[in-house]
Order: sequence, then C-alpha cells, then structure tokens
Amino acid sequence: MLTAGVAQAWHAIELSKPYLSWALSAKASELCQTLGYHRIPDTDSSDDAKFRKLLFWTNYFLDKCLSLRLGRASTIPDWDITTHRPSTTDTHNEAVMAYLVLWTESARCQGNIYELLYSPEAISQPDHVRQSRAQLLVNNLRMLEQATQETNVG
Amino acid sequence: MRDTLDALSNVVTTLREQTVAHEMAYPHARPIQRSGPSGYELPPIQKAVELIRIAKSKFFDPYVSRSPCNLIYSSEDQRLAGTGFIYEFILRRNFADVCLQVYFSSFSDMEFIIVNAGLHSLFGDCSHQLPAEEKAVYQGYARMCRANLETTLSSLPLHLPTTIDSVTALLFGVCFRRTYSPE
Repeated sequence: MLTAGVAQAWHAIELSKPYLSWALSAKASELCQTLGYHRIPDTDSSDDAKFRKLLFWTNYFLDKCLSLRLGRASTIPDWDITTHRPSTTDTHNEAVMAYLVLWTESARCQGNIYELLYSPEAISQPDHVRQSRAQLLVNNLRMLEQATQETNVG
Repeated sequence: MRDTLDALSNVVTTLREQTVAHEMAYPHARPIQRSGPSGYELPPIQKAVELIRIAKSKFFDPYVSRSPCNLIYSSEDQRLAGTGFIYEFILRRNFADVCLQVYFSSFSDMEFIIVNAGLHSLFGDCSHQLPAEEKAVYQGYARMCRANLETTLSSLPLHLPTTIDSVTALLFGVCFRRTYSPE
C-alpha cells in the first residue's frame, strides 16, 4: 500500500532486535522528556534546536514503531507534545527533513493502530466501534500514501 | 512583554535542570570509579578522516542514489531512516571533532558510542563500492566499530548524563543496526 521509503522503514523495525531497541529507545525518550525536547518552542530556530527536534522526532518514530511491534504503550503520547510537528509546509533544504515529515506521520499512524485497534482497551470494544476505528485508520494510511507520493515526486 | 516571558521561561528551565541534576545524585552513595572503554581497537585515523572528508564533500548527497559520488548511499531505501539520521549527524554536527577526541584524548562513553556508530556506517556503506580485497578490509573495520559499540552499550549504567550526547548515543544504538550489518 505504501511506497518504498516509508514501507521499508516500517519493515526495518521487524528485522532488528525489537526488545533491545525498546530498552534504548525508552531510555532516550525519558531523557528527551527530561530535557524538554517535546516542548521546544517554535521561536527557537537555531541549528542546535533543529538537531534537538530531529532527535526528538527520530525517537518518536522508533517509539511508535516499536509500540505496535511489541504491543506496548508508547512512551511519548501525542497529547503531551507541544513542539511543532514536522510539516510539508516547512521550508527545509535537506532531504532528510522532507522524509522526517513522512516518518513522523507513519509513526503516528502506527501508534494509533496499536492504541485504537490492538491495545487491551481497543480489543474489548464492540465490533461496530472497532470497525469505525479501522475505517479511520485506513483513511489516515491513504493520506499518508498520498503524502509519500508527493514527497517522492517533489 | 514577549521578551520578559521568554526570559522568565529560561529562568524556570534552568532551575528545573538544576533540580533534575541535583535529584539524580544519591547523597549517601560512596564515590565509584567507572572505567571507560578499554582494550579496544579503532580503524586507522587516516582512513576515518578520508571517509569523513568524502562524506562531507560538496558532491555528496546521501539521499540521492544517482549522485556523482555514490560512495555511501546505495539504492536500498530501507536504510533511509537509520542512515539518514546517522549521516545527518556526521554531515552537520561536529562528528570530526568528537572523532579526534576519541582517537587522541579523553572521552565519555557517549562520545565513544557516537563515533563508533558513525564509523560503522561510513566503513560499512563504503565497503559496498570497493573491489573484493579492500572490501574485506573495510568490513573488518566496520565489525571492529560494531564490537566497540555493542560492548559499550551493553555496560551502560541506569543513570545516564542528561545530555544531548546521551540521547544521540542511545538513538544511534537503535539505528546502527539498520545501516550496514556485516555477518
């Protein structure tokens, strides 16, 4: 369904040692939150802040992928993040930043898939609730697919 | 008004950081001497410098597989996430300085991890472009770095310094597996 870049990044998590990765990623997430990387204000546009944001969103990506892979709750809830989410409207010179938008979106989808479909709370929901959640997630994936195509062209 | 608020916010952040640093120390613990990495080997510095120079040269774009200097990034998109992140550090942060420290001076566990993850990617990815004989040598260097990296990761303490280096090193620890992996 998704084009190469994101789909394979997605797949890559399957290949590595997920429990080991989780131990490192969870520790990094604890440090990131202690250092306030999830709350970096927009006003700070120094190179240093850019790198801290890159660290944070890379951490977010790993955390959400591993959450779905291992069936564990994410350590970085979306509702706790105030730092600006990478967006296609950002101006950036580096290709890595354009892909960062896709990685964070694919990560958000994966986090949602675990939370809304596979977590213990989700499994106990009646069928019609799970069906409508599944539909919502499919729509999210379609939007991600479209964004991926646009990025690859651009 | 905005300036005042920002200034106050900075004060609060600084105070909070101090509190965290203070709280993370055990007041009754006896001082312990943690010995850093020992008994390790690193690839020759000349080779490392050469690769960093090539990686930073203006022709180099690790994200475009058809770029004129296709030394490091080969066409497999699956490396993008991990590789992109590690190369982002090598290309835009002070990777060369950290290398010099690790080769010639004193360094932290975190710096050791960062350098070995970076060199592991550089030597490993570069080896794909080389003839068989050199390829084996470069893969050997990549394995050397991987052993350094894994040894250090496996002995990290529960309490790590609350620094950008620690975050970088931990994330490199996750990402390096998705770059070149010699068997």
